Amino acid sequence: MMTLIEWLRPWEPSAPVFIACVLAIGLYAAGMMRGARPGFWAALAFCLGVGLIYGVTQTHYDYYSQYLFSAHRLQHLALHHLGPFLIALSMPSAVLAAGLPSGVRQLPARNGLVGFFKLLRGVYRVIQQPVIAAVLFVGLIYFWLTPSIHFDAMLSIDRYWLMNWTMALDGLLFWWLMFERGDQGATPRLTPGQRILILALIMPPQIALGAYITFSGQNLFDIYAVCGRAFPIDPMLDQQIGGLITWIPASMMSVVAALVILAFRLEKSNEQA
Amino acid sequence: MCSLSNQPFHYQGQAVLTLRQIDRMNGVIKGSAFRAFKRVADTLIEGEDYFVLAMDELKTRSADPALNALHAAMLSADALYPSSRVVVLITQTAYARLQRAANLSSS
Repeated sequence: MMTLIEWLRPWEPSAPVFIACVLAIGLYAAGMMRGARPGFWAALAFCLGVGLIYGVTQTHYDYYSQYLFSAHRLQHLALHHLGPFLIALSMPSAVLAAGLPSGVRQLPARNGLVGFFKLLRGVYRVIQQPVIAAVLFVGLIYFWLTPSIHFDAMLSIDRYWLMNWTMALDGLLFWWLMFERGDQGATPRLTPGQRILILALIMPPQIALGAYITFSGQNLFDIYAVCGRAFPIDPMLDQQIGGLITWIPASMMSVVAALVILAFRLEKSNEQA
Repeated sequence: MCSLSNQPFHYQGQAVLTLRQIDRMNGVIKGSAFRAFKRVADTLIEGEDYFVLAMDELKTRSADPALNALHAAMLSADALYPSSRVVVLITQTAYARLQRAANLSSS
């Protein structure tokens, strides 16, 4: 029986993930101490989102992610969907900005760096174009689940982290685009209808991929057979559970997001009335 | 634990260990040797530093008595994880690199 300490110990320690999570929570807390008032639910959503990302990468759960396909799919559900969804839902930019030291906040306006930040903003606006964002969101899932690419990613620590980072960052970008509200910033402002259309369009490819994995008669991801799965489980059952996770909860997130967007729209209408 | 189970096997003229043997020798959980292997996999050459054998092949091949004997020896030494479909055999050179990558013991 594992102790709590053993569960909390990272299987594959990653300084960048640890630093990013601690920095995010630290900045958020600093922002609140400096007067930002995000509200209880927003703060909870942000902490839960960061906590989820940390939990699936920097605890013993990561061990199961590397030795069970179904656990890996749950890990990516948290990294690409749930965690970034909650973070974006909390719209933390104002709180995080308040937490930054003033010197860092003024960096974009500094003479030598204006061009760099302009370029960064331009790149950000390009990858946040609705079609590009949607293709990237679905494309990355397909890319990392291509059996040969998946094999290589799970066989190399560097590629493994590249996979996880790209999933988390892309998830953040996508859900940020979906939930962007408040003052106009660098993120393209889409109408609720456009957002719901994108959410509807990304569902069928995820459903198709999940169904393909679930109903495939062959073992598609043989990397999990190299060392053996974390515990004795039929490889096909493991694959079917992983397929269902790719299929149902991942697609359901689109429905939940559409409801959230409609709620925001109603809230705005009520304010204007 | 039977010390015999951690004796290296011989494959293609080299002394080799399975991942399960390495985990057991170092008293670490299943997957630790494979994790170390993944850390250094890019620097290893298949066929020289390590060998990969498909379990299905091992189970069905009868034309190669040496391979049959190896399979039987690995089974009797409890050197394979039951859920593995592939056997990775690590040579001494590769094991030294695994040890450096993961601070495994040299026992």
